[in-house]
Amino acid sequence: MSLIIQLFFSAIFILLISSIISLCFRGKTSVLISSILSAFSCLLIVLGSLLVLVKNTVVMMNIPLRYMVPGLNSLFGEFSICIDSLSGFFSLIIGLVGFVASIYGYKYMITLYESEHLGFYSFNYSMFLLSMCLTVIVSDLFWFIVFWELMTLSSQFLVSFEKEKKQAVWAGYKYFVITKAGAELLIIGSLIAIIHYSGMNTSYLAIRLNPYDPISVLLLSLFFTGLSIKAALVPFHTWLPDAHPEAPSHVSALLSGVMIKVPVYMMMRTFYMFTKPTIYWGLIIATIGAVTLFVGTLYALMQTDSKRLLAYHSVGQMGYIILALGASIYLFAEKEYALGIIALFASLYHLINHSLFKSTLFLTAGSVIYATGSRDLNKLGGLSKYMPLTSLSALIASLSISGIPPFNGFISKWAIYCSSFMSGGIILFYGIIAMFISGVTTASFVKYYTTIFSRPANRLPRNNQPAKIPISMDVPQLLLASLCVLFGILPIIPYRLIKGILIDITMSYKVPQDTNIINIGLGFVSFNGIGTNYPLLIAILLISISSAIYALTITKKEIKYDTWTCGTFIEARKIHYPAKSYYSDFEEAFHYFYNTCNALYTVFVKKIPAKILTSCKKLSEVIEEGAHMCLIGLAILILIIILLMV
Amino acid sequence: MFKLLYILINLFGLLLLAPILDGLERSIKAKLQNRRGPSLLQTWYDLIKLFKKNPGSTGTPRFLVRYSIYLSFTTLLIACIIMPSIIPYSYSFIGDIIVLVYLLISSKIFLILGSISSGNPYSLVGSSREVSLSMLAELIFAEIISVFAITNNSLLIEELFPAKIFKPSLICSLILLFFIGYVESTRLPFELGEAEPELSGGIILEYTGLDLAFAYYSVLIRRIIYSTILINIIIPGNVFIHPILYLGCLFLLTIIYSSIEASFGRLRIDSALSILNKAVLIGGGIVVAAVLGL
Repeated sequence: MSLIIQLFFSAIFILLISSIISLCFRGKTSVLISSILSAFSCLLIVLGSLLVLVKNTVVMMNIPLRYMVPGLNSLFGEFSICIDSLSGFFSLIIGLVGFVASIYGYKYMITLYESEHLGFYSFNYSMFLLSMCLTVIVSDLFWFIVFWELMTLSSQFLVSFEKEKKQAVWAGYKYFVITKAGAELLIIGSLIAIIHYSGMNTSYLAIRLNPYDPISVLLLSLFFTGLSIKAALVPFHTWLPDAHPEAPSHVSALLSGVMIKVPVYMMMRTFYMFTKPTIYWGLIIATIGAVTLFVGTLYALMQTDSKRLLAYHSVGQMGYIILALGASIYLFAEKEYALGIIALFASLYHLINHSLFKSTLFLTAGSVIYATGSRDLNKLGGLSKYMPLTSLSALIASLSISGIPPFNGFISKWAIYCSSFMSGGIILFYGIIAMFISGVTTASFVKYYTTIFSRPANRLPRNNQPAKIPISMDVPQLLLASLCVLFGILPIIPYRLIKGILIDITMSYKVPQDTNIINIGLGFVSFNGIGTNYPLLIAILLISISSAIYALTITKKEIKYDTWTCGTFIEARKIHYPAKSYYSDFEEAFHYFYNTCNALYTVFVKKIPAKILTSCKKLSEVIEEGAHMCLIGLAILILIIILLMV
Repeated sequence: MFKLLYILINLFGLLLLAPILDGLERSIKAKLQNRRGPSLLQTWYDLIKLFKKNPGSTGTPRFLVRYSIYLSFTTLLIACIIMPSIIPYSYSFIGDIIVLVYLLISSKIFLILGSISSGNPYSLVGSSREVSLSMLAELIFAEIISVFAITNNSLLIEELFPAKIFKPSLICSLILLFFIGYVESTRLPFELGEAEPELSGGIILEYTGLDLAFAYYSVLIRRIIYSTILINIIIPGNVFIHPILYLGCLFLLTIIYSSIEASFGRLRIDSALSILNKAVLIGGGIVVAAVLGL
């Protein structure tokens, strides 16, 4: 066994042990065990995936289960793992955010929640990390589905962890039902793939689809729909803004930062490795990406609940990733390889950036909950005095997600604009929308940061004294925030991580070698003839000049005075401007959009499902119980036949 | 080595010119409104007076309130370095047109962060209006950049400045750039940060002395940057003609802008947003035309 396999296997083993042991203990001990073991195994995953990415190797391993468990048929007969650069990239993200979230989670959980249920949490937490990691490294459709379902199940328990809160249970239920429906589509798709194309072989490597064949069109649509439900693309996004805020904050960081990226992994495999890029699929994916970023972010602008705002932004930022992915598929199909590579680079770059800054933001929101017990942006304020480190990491992450130079979101968004503006045609318009939405994101995070941290509070909860944030919760945020800065000013680091995937894909399409378009040095990115960007230089200039000005002015004596409130002597906090009024003018200017979306939501999410439900009830009344049993028996029979065929 | 010299000439030229142009604007507006008006150097005198004064501070994170204004100023300086202005050499070694626009936007965002952090509810109202405007302005910028990208097939500054062929769509997008440069440089009908009497001062309400000087100075530099982008596309890049033409166009543009400003009152926020919405639609039309090859 190679070192990489050893690392991954030991990580998986430790996670398994962790989830089992934490069931044996109760209360704080179980959280401690699961946090330490999960953090350690995540570190191993990070090491393993870094080795894969730096060496640019493919590690494969088959464990024939059928010899160990007698009578197991061939579908589950082999447990095969294939870690190529794509798997390595995603498992790196899982390991990185998982490590940080595990450290953060310990104090957060034992302080905020009752100790009775903590064993259940610890079990599910380790299980969640385990299933995510396995989902991206198995190379077998059946095992992929198994771990995918396990991931949904364990994360659903984490979402509805607060059993006493009706809303949390409901959100978890909604999340589970919707994503389960997506998983069913994936199952049907995989069945078609296995039966029709790969001669009963469940390995990824065997699947080669002809994109114009009607059955494979059906298969791809099933896969794409199933994956986009999990990735929360519009119109399947409605579960996300309910589910992500309800989970404990570090779990929200994992859900938003990592879990919704797993479907993107499968999308990349499906549309780049199972089949050739085609123009229509590129256009469909890019269109859905553009719609997603538009709808998600404009709704995020309206939110006044800190975690719900972040959750809607997750929808929006997924739109950026999917838009760039779609654009790259389209451009590859159009044989514009250079731009296609830029778009793919941008998509992966934004993906890793999003998992960094969104996790940071969720952790900061969690710290605010820890300190004040509130998520309401209308009431919060002035916390930077009490929690300076949280405030700093929230500021860095907010500037990163807004794409302000020289932070990491800037480079990836810039790359998305470069590829889409240069492509011409319909993708160009999506680029324009993306740039507009970047402005909306900025506005939204100006609101997020200033309402929580900088402007004076309406009234501080808990007797004006927010709780002190422990170091084990501050350090994880700062770690992620510093990675945001690092990935922003030194784009060569993420490029080294992405390079393997780009090479794999360009090799498989025999892209001409002269399209070596991306030119990255220590502190610069340049796309030959298209655009250049020197974030390191910008950062140095920005920091040095502004600090020089500050240093020059610091010698002058600072006059301290009260806030000016039009000459009357009232406290500034009494003239409070609530978060919901920040952009009310803008929302009014866009009321057509909001009204249409709300109407669509009531029709498609509330009315039509309710009608279907009532008609189903009528149907079930018509069919007697005996008929029920008959149907179930029939279903089991079909299943057995299918299994026997295999 | 020469390159560095050119950068310095351009940078300090712009820094020197920006207050003089404001002085020109003030005197033109005064002439149009039958007033006597100040001298050309009056803005410089004001700035120097403010620079000598002590800074003041309020708000909870004092450091953020003050530092953000310097950040905002510095971002504009970097934008000045990227662009060719008085001497037409392109210095796109830092970035392209998207980076330039992003620097301008982030300068505004830094300013707003500091302003809201100062804790004054009135400057918060002003800031939120300003952000509402700049969201739509960014959309219009995106349309303009995409037209540039189509017509020049590159986003690099040395390819864009000056334009080689003037297609109708490019000319229309220049008109749009003229408009959005006007909106974004806090001139009168769109100066909504201080739309009500109690908001006077708007975003920079809480800044005094030295910091106020930097805030004013950044507004002036932002104006000159928008004008420079527009001029650079139009006038040829010849080393000898360029400086003269550049200065001529700059003064001409200032005269046009100030006479527009003198003849307008302030808009209400909703009507300003609806005007920008119309501009967005027009911009969309221009982009369609550019895609079709017009």
